[in-house]
Amino acid sequence: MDRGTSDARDTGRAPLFEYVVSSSVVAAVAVHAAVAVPGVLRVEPGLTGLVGSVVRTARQRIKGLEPAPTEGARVEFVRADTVRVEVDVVISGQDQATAVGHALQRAVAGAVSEATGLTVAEVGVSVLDIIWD
Amino acid sequence: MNTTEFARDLVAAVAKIPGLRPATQAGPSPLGWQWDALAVDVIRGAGGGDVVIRAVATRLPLPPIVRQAEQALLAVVAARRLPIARMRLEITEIDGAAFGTGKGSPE
Repeated sequence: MDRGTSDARDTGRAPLFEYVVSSSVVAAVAVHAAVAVPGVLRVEPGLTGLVGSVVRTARQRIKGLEPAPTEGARVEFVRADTVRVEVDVVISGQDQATAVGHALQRAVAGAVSEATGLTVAEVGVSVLDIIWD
Repeated sequence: MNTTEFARDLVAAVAKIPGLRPATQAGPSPLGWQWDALAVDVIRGAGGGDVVIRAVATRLPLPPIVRQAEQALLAVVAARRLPIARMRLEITEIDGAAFGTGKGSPE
């Protein structure tokens, strides 16, 4: 989790306040941004992501929650306020893979930064398949 | 310190923040337990207690929501004059509603 800190101490009495954002939240933001990139047909988990998805589903039992999908994205906190994101995608053969990849990196980095306040150190893109329409 | 009442106040404060709700466990609460209070951990220490509140995000972006939550939660502590040294808000999950989809799907 990321940690943001706000020192709210006043005359030494108010507690130190901090917040953390889970990797699930970051992954959901990344997936949502990725699927909107032109040329990306879908985000889907590789083998590692499938294992993580099962664990998350088993852990996820919050009342009334319709969890946003996170499959296909992996998040690593390299520092308290900095993440590295990896996304697995299937892209269209109609677009150049490198162009799609660069657009996806920009989209994911921007979305995660804006949504969470975290710094994105790196966005890795793995093209699992190319579909020719 | 009445921990249960304090936890309820914290949960109520989070529930009032647009874009957040307590990370309440699913299922019926057994034996009349306050299920919502399980979204809060109060850890007592020598220098004062530490409090952890777990919440789900239902809106984005988070930074302004967290700032609002900070004010509300610190107000609860101040009102009760409790020796709380540290307070941590954990955004553990995000609802599909935050992206405008009740049942989010990447396809």
